[in-house]
Amino acid sequence: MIHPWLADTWQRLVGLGGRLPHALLFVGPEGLGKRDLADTLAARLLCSAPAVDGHACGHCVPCQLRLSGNHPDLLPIVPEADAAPESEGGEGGEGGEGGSGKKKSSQIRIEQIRDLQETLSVTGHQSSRRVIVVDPAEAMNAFTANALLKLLEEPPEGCIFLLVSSAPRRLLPTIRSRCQQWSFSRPADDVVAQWLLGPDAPPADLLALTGGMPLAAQRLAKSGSDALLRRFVKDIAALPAGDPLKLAGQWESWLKSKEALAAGFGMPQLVEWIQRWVTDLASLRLGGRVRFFPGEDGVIAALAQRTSVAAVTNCYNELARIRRVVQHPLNARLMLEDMLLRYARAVTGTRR
Amino acid sequence: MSYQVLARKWRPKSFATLVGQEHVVRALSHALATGRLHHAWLFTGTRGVGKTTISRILAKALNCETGVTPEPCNQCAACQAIDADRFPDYVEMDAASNRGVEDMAALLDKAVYAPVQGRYKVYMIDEVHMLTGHAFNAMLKTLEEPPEHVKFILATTDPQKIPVTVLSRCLQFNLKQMPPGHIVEHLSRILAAEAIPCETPALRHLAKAANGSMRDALSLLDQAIAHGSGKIEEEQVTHMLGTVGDDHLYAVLDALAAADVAALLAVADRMEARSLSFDAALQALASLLHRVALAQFAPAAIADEAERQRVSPYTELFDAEFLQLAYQIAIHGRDELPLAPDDYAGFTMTLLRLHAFRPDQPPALGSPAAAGGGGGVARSLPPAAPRPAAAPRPAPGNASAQPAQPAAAAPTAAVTPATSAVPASVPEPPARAPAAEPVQRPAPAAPSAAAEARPEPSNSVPPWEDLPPEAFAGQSAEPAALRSEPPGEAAPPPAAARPAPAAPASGGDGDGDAAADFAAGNWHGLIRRLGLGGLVREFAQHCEWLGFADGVIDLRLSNAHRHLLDMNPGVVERIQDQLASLYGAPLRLRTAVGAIEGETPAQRDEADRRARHAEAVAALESDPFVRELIERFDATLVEASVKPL
Repeated sequence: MIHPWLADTWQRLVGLGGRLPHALLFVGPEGLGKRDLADTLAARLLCSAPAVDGHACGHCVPCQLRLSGNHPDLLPIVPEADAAPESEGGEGGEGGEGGSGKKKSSQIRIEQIRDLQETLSVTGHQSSRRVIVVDPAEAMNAFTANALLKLLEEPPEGCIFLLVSSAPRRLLPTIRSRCQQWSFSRPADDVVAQWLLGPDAPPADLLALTGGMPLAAQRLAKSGSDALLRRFVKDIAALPAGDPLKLAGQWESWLKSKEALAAGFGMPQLVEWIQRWVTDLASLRLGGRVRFFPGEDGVIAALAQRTSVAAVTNCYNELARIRRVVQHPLNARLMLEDMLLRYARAVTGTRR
Repeated sequence: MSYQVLARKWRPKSFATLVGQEHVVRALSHALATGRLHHAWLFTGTRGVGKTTISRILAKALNCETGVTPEPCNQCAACQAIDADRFPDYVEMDAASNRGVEDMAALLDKAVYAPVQGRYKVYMIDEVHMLTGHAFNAMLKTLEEPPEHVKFILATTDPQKIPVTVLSRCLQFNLKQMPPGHIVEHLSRILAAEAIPCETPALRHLAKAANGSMRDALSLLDQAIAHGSGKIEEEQVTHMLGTVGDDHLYAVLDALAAADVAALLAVADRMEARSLSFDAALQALASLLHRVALAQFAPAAIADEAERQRVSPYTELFDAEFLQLAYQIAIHGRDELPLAPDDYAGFTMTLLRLHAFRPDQPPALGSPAAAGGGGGVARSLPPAAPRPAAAPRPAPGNASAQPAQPAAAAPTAAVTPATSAVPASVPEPPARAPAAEPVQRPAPAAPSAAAEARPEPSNSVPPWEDLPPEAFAGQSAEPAALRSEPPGEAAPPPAAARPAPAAPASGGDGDGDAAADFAAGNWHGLIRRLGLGGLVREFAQHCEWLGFADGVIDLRLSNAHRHLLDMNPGVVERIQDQLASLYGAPLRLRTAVGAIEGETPAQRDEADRRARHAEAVAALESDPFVRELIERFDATLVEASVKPL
């Protein structure tokens, strides 16, 4: 499906018609529907009789194959970790091989590219048209990316690569140079406002939290992060008066609680939220505005008055450093304590 | 729907149509024409400069049915087969996906057999930097002495990763980046052939954005054609490229100059609305700041006349310190963009930092003064001293005596940001404000550096000429009396790191007027007023006040310091002159040498210092943290290292 804020882009893509290049790179922040766009485009490309608006018809044989998740010429290249839910969703996928207890790789492995090369070396099942969706492209490690280079430069007849990336800087320049880049950014407010009126729209505070990325907000809303967010705001707003160590303890058990696990709420997200909170604080202190927590601007303004520019900037930098290691298997309790102590120091002005 | 992108469609098929790389083409053509053929070539260069293209042409040149020639015919079966990638003796191997030693062994196994169809078996190994070490080693022997009929062509973007043993066996050609002029020419030729109308300035933008790579340029051109639905217009191209049209950046500078936060954020909003890359924007901003700084110091270094015109106003608006700081902030901001909550937040934070961390300096003092105008004061202040900005230092008690102080202290403020510019380490105002100390202290004895080093317009003492530079740097809270050697030779203590206390014009010393001091015999206060320096001051410090009557002052120099008088007999006269001008009437100074009965200023300073030291030691000892250290870790307090503030 095409989201309203991508309608223009879709029109342009459809307008390309026969001039569609063999490699497209969709670039933009997460939660915008880049993958949806790629999937829709793939559907259109595979459909034997696309509708007037460019969408796939949904009736023809290729479309039915695709809808049942079995289209042999639609080749999603995704990290193993993402592939499992993907095949459940009925959106293609090679099918899980061997459900061993091993942790799934979050990278795209070179074997996947080698398999792809083999697949593409023969003609397609339905026609010569094959569509390869690589998402996220930055999940390719250096070996994988290099292995893709030759294929990406001169793919066999009819192959179209759709790469999706939210961190184009991490792609090889040689990859970027082979693709036509289409970049996206935060949708305009009026379009989103219109969308918010529609069904299953996320609450406005979640939308703000994600920095205006509608789909990211929707995901949060669906996973029930609403309540989590409320608790987060309550806790962090009360922190300057409270004890950071105690809060760290509470948060540790919070992270392990059932509702947090159900929502997929983990350390990375918590760190991200704190970082956003501090970003708002720092932004306000430096003369900017509150962006992620507009509902709490009173609290943030009060906090900002207590801090010094140096302390709050320092805290912001420290959180950026913490974010760097957030994926590491560190002791959660220690990490939370460290983070909250730093934060408390910034907002209360005490030095240790 | 068999559209081929321009980069593939227009891949040159002969050396003649190749753009740029003349140095390589010439060497290869000569080699082909004369038959002096190396057996292994290595092409290196960034993306999209023609490595693969040259390799293919070379393969054709070697196998063309018209003979080995620098101008392959492109007509014969061999040439066409190579172009279509179905020539049995031309093997294009993707080293990035076939990295292992087995792949290489398989390749080399076949190398011993004679070519099937062509003259030479050509192995083209692309992305060769991805081969494993074993694979490289496996090919060494064959690469060194291949069979007659085998030619190797290696191509890579990253020659650093290739072992030297391989490098030394190949003839290496480094392909250059394409100059924008070449790219524009090539693009317009292609557009003419494709019958697509275009505006030349648009091509120039594309060429600039391609950054030296022809394939990038052609990818962009494809995109531009798609974007402009079949024609190329400048406006659309700039829109598509999101070339952070320098307009945005100049808007940032304008907003910074005007200290207008709203305008700064508006720039970020505008850029977001156009999906411009914040990453590229920060890079471009750093580069712009660099150019402005360059224009400040060497305007001629900016070759482009139009750009110089554009940049020059900003050289006036910003001073050198700010530009350095801003440059670092921009670079730093770009580094941590991936760690920011999102790109927009990272970018705006960087802008806000640029706004907030302006080096704070009085408007009267521009950069020239800070850069060290050569004045004694500027020289004496160590530029590297990481001292807090001096601006907020309150000077209520000594305002009358120290009108020169704020100005003199300002260079410190101006210099500081340049040295500690990284925003991550913004120095916080230290807990101990240096200014508070002297005011609390009852009667500090030694005239401080600030007091004596700076000319004081309030008293009419002429500037003294004998002030040794050490007196500026060497002055500290330590009384001069401690030094037994002549002060001129006193090694300057590391006063740089120590905050020089502001003029301690406290107690009755500085407040009363000079006449009162004369009447009361306040010799200590008088010395302070005189603002003496060097030897003269040392001499005065060691004299005792005996009396003042009928325009005659009696002083007694302590026995231990009589050498001060011996070394410099003129010293008495100088003090006499200065006292006279302070008193406003002629004076005579009589000095005798003898045992001190009362107290000299030097002794008083020393006693005072001891008292403060004892106080500081006592305070430290009673500190609970120190006590705990002593108890737990058996620590000892080294009293000599305690320095009272």
